[in-house]
Amino acid sequence: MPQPPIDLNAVFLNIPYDEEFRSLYIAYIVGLYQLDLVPHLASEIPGGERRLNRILDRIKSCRYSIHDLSRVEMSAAPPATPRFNMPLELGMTITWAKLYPKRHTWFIWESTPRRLQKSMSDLDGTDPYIHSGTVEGVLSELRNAFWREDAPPVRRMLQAYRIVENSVEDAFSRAGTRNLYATSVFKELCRYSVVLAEWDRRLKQKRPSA
Amino acid sequence: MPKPIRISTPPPTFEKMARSLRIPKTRQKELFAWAEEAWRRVDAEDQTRAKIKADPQEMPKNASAAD
Repeated sequence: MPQPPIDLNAVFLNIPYDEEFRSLYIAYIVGLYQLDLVPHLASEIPGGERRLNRILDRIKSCRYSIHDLSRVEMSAAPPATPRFNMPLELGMTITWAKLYPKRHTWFIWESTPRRLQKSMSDLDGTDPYIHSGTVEGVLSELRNAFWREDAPPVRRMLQAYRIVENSVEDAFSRAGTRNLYATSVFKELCRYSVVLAEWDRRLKQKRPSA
Repeated sequence: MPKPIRISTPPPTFEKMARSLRIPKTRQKELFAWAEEAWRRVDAEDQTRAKIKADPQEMPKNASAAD
């Protein structure tokens, strides 16, 4: 069966969609654009297709994926239930990458070093990237994971993050919703991030030492 | 420490990304003007912070606005 084309710069983000994750979510979007990569969410694909199929299609079209398991924990609202969506999507990705290793590479992100060994001992031997629950942690680990010779310094990435974080209210107002994870808001954040990255790139071309 | 991936694929062009994000030309113009101003502002804020850190006695008059 022919496989769909892969976008070689695309990164599927398997992350929790909750308010507590807000700053790290924005950091992933900004950071990936700063590294000339393009983030994607499962929710972007429209249509009535079953959610699981949409997620798999999205994973298949991306060359890379990031699975942030830092908030795999019991939900606060009763009945207390573990959050399994992220491990489920990770499992789907691992299977896909096992079948087609040249088409997909996955990464795990965690907040603390030993949490993964405890929550998923089957992944022993897999080193997660540790962001320590901070924006700076996400940005510096993105820079470590996706190595580019001309990558901007973390300081510059943090500045871009601050700018986009300050523009979230504008994104809400343009999108007509306050749901940070709605596709329309995600796209607005992407628009801000891509233009910031492009502006910096053009500046660098004008002044190579900038 | 996990092994990094060396990204050697050429970055997508801005035109391609703008198309996929559906940013019309007029909005692109607006966004570039916004980006120029935003970068200028954060650079100025960081310079002010750095000056205050280096010499807290020499706090500029508008330092509180920058913080």
